[in-house]
Amino acid sequence: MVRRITSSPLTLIGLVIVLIIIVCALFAPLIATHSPTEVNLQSKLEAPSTSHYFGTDEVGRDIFSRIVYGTRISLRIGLLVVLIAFPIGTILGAIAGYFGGGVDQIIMRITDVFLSFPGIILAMSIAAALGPSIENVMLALAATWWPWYTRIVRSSVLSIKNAEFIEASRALGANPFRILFKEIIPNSIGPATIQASLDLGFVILAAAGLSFIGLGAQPPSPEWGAMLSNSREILRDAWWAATFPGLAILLTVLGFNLVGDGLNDVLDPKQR
Amino acid sequence: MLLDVKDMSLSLKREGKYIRILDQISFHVNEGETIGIVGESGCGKSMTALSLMRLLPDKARLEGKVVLQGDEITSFSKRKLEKVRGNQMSMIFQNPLTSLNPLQTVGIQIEESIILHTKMGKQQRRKRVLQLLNEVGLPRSEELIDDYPHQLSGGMRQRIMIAMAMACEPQLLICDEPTTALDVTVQAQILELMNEIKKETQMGIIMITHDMGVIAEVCDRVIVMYAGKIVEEAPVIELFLNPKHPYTLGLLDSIPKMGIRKQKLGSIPGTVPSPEKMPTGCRFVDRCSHAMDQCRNTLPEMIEINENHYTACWLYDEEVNKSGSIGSQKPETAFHY
Repeated sequence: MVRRITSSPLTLIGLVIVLIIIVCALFAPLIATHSPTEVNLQSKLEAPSTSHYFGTDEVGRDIFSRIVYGTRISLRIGLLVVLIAFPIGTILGAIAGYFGGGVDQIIMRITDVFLSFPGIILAMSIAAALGPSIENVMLALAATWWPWYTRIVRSSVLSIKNAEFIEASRALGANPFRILFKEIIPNSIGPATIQASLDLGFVILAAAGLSFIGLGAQPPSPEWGAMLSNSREILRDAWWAATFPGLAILLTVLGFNLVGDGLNDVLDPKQR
Repeated sequence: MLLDVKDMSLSLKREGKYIRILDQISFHVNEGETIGIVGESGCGKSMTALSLMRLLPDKARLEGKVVLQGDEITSFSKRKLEKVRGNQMSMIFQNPLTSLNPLQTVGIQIEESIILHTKMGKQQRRKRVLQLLNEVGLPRSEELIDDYPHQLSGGMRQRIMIAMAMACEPQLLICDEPTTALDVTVQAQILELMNEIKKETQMGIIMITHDMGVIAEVCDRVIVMYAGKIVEEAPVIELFLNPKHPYTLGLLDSIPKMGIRKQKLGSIPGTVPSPEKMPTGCRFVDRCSHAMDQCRNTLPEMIEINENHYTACWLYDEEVNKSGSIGSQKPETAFHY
């Protein structure tokens, strides 16, 4: 399996990007050259140089260091949102698919409600209602993300719930709860797991978007979306202040996407 | 008596209507006895097995009585039934390739029913699993216990299925076409294993199959089913030597025989009628070469012909035989050894 992942150059690139991001997040204090929040008005709006790799912003903070620290925020948002949304969506989807009938109707109509308006709008309204902070952004994104997993898991549960090994397990005297957690869920989360790896990137993008419009991370937090937002007004004087945070978002989303696609190719037997 | 089934009927809901799939099935199984249930596809063999286990869809209606070791399990709650399944009665399924969870090792899957039904500790359970693997004729059990299903062949997987079903030493084992999906050589091995298990455990076995060869190999008594009803019941040798019901004759006639190359292999014209369009009289009437008026109008009752040999056919009804000269219409024995 490892060989199959590394044999695709695109997946390999994605993997390298993701690894770099993880390393940045883990060792941010060692990699960053300056403090991410230290204001130094004497060196404001400096162009990229050897002392400030990505230049400085309008109050003289080192952009490179801020981006490095920003990986911590973005990764944390991505992971936590997926870790909240994935189990909720999976369990609800499995229950809906396995038990069917009224339970199925109720769960799926609720997911329909969530899916019926654009995710980012829903997240915006939830985040705005809860008040701007990173935690609320995470809550808002988790609340908009779980219905996708419910749908995916439900459909794969439907395709395996009449499998003979499920019947065999009932014939051995297993109760529905045991069958759900030991047979149904492990055998139907494959596609949802792939979706989750793709979603890490999209969640980071959405969080950056919410921060950009002021609903997420608040200054002086080195969140990429917030950095982009701040550098909007000085774009004409200091291209670097907006470019590098933007590139960071782009590369992160690209990295997780490539890895997700790679996983899809490896795990989906139909595409082999 | 181990299992006594009385007037069991099963109806399934289709397009708002209940359709009767099984019609007043009655039979019994003694301790240590192997009962064969034969019939074509769609005649209700598998449904009989699933009804006994009560592994039925939600919209099924089951009537009649099933008594297992003195307990009327038809009245059991779902919870109570879970304690019976896998413990007092177990089932082996047709396709060993799809009957095992692909994500768990075979050891864990065999262990499952031990966990569900006993209070054995971890060490004990592992010992029991190893013992079971040996009993079903799988060598290298120490390595095999940690293998995944896809690493094993079809025959090995069916042995695993048998081990799973045997784990709690059930008194009744229901086998739904256990050899149909296997190679002929492997089939023979599995049947031999079943015979050995039977000898050792005194377990009652219900063997569901469409293969008369399997019946001859392992069964003591045979039930022939047609379109959801039992049409003939006899000890195995009696059935092969002296089959009565035209349907049984047809089935026996469709077996290719060694040494005799006939121009055309016998076959029964037509197919099993669908449950929605069941004839009012004998259900076999449209395919039977001996059909009489009586057959179209009234359903024949089961009558005893010889000792322990029953059939439901008007040809053997005394009244009918007295009034007409249809004795000559009695089918000839079709099976020769």
